[in-house]
Amino acid sequence: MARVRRNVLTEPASLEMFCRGVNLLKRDFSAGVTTTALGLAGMDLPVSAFDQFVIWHYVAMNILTPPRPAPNPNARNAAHRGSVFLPWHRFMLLLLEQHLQRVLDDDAFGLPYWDWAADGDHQPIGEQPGLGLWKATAMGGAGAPVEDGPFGFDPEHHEDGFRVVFFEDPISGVLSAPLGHRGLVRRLQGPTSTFGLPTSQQVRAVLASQTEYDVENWDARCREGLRNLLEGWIPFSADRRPELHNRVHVWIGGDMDPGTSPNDPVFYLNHCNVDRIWEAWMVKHGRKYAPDDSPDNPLGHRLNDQIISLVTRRTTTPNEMLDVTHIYTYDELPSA
Amino acid sequence: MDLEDLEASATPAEMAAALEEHKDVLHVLQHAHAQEPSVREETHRGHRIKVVTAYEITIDGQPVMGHLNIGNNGAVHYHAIPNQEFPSMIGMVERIIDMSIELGTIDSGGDDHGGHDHDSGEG
Repeated sequence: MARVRRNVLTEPASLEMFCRGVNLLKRDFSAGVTTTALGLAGMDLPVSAFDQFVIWHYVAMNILTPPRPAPNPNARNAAHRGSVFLPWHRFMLLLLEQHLQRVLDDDAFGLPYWDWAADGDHQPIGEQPGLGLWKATAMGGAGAPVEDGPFGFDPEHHEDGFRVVFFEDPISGVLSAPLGHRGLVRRLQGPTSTFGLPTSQQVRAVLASQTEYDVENWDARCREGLRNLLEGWIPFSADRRPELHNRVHVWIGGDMDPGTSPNDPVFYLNHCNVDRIWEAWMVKHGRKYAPDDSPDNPLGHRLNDQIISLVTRRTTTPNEMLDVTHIYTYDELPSA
Repeated sequence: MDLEDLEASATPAEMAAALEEHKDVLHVLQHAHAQEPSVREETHRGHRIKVVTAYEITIDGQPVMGHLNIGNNGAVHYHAIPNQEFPSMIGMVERIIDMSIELGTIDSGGDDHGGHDHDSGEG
């Protein structure tokens, strides 16, 4: 029977298992992977299963599609800013979920989602950082480092806390190790932000208005299509304000900002909700995908192009990710 | 992909083997890349347009090395801020500074007021 993915804020058992499983994966070094295997000079550290997912995401972001030196003004990469965005992350979530089942020894576990649009409806927006997800009984709150909740960090007892091992340095763009030990950083809207989380009205509008999965040029410039709307590059406001998926990353901030954003376990709750919205769209509009396999379409984003992983030799394709309802379902899909 | 296939794909042995299988892509972990020109191309009324833009950006003398791209709509995207575009280059660099302070890679320079509101695109 397919596992069921549930709302992290209304299903305490899903929340508890997710947090426990993530902390187990963070301490799981059974693969024997080290920074030496990754070719990282100057370090000799064991790499946990959880951190190997962080590295996979960062590497995918650094593989441009098409690769340089071809002109690439729109900077598609192997996982973002192009059509493959949704199937690539579905594959990542499936593998993370499966590893959580492994360490939890529970083959019924389903990854929970965070319905951020429900929080985005909350007014005034200044209160959104105080809502349920950010309580110590859930994911913990803001901080540099985050001190409370299951992923808290105490500099005085750093061996016991949730440590960030690798992160993308914003200036150099290079995968780096923090100087000394540090925990997660979260901003949660920040002192000067003027926008809140995306709203349920925005989600309904996406589901109702978009009949195509993606459109030419299959990048962040597309003015139509589910993928570019849900990824969050449109509508094109004058201030280039991020929308939907992108806005959630920026609103949380801190370690959710750079290419190493899977450092924050909230990454998976966000993307599980993005996947849920995609699933709702396919139920309404059909399990279709674009672009097709024409050689004129961008390599790495076509229907049967290979998606590689750095946590398994098994590859997949967007085509294979369109229907995985035999593996998992959602307890509730958003409606248009 | 069926469930048995997925289960077989999610083992510690697979995690180690995947790095060996795909080590050709791990080169991106090795070092910073020199900033490359951004190339924009467009066709207008049958005539080919090509705009090559090169930037040299430093923060306190330290070069900004992540991939930088300028879209045909003029928006700037910087690789290490993957979920945002910016209407101005200065606004983008201010955001890099704010992120670096948040993540502890540079100090706040005595200004701990949280920076500017780059989310709304000023700068």
